[in-house]
Amino acid sequence: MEHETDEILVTHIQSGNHDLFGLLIDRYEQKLKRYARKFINNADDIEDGVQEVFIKAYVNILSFDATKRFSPWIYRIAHNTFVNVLKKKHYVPSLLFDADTILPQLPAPETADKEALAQELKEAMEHSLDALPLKYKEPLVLYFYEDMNYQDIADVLHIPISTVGVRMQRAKQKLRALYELHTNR
Amino acid sequence: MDTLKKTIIEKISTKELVMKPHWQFFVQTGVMIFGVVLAFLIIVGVGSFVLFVIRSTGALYASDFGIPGMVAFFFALPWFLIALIFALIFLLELLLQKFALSYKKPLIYSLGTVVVLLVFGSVVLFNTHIHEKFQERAMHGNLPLLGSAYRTFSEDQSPSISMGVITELRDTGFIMEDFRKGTLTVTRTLTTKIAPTLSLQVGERVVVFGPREGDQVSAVGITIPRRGDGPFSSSSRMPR
Repeated sequence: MEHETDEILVTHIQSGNHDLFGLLIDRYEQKLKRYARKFINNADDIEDGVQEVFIKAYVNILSFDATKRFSPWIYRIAHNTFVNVLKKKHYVPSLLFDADTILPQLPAPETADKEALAQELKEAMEHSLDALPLKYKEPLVLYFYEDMNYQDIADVLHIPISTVGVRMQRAKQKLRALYELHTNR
Repeated sequence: MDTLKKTIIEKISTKELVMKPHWQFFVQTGVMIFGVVLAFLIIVGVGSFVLFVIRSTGALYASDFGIPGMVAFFFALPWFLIALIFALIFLLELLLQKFALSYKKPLIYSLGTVVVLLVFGSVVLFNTHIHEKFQERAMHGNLPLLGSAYRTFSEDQSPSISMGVITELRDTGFIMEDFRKGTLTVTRTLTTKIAPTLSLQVGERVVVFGPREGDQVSAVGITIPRRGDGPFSSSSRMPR
């Protein structure tokens, strides 16, 4: 079972093999903690948040459609859970509709910089990622750290794929600007 | 086994954590779809009622009389109902954003589709004359829940718009029996705009636009209530 895909594991869990949920925890615990650390600073909040994600995933696992990918599904739960943690601490504004999801955007294709991430951008992310607003930080984190493509990111954030491209472009611009400001000091 | 995994596995084995059954997700989706349909139907109902109010209060005709008419039209609009429609559309969009079909596309697409469907639905419902029937029932006290809305909104006619039938011709104008305001004396001047197809004669149905003081109206313009005119065709009510 250890070599099976997430989706096959979930199918078995849905059929009643509940112990296999432990395998999913093994696969995703560190990833989700890494993801959480990009938004939440408090270690206890991270631990509690990730535990809550797994609890929600287990409770709602029968709603998962095994013909789709599991990773965006659990990251969607993580996104909602971590945003709620931040909201409780008043770190994020509550926007019902975000301006860049209203109008159609020109498609921004995925670039090859995930593999050959420009040194400048890499350094900029290390230094200035925390200074970015959440809506720009999250696509960057999912793309570069969690290795997702634009479609997966759109599924996690529940936004149009073209908006993912636009946010990625703007995030990179903002990062570079922040980094230049930082290095010129 | 690390603490987090141990905690969750323990909760699962002791049945402290249980999976939600399939039916709960079906019910959840069903409730959401019901909410969307209900919100849609309410907006269509309110939208068609707004069209009915605009026509029955005469606001529709005010726009025939230039800028002053447009101003009167603007102020005669049922803004409370229009605000209610906007609020309900906002609510409907919030519900729709729960569905992948909606959130995967820019908001403008679902909003545009919703608005087009709502306008179409409202116009269709308006043309069924259901509001005239409801109003009749409201006037006779046979419409328990919506009766007051019909009495409040559709009777709230703009003071500068009078609708009724000419009962007597005079040198300076005519006497008309207004649908709601009773008998009015209408004075026309050289500057009064009169619809080209209108011949002022007793029994003619007219809409008069102009300031009113008591039962005296100084006509700025006079026109004919439209019948069979596009989506606003309807049997206009005659004086009671």
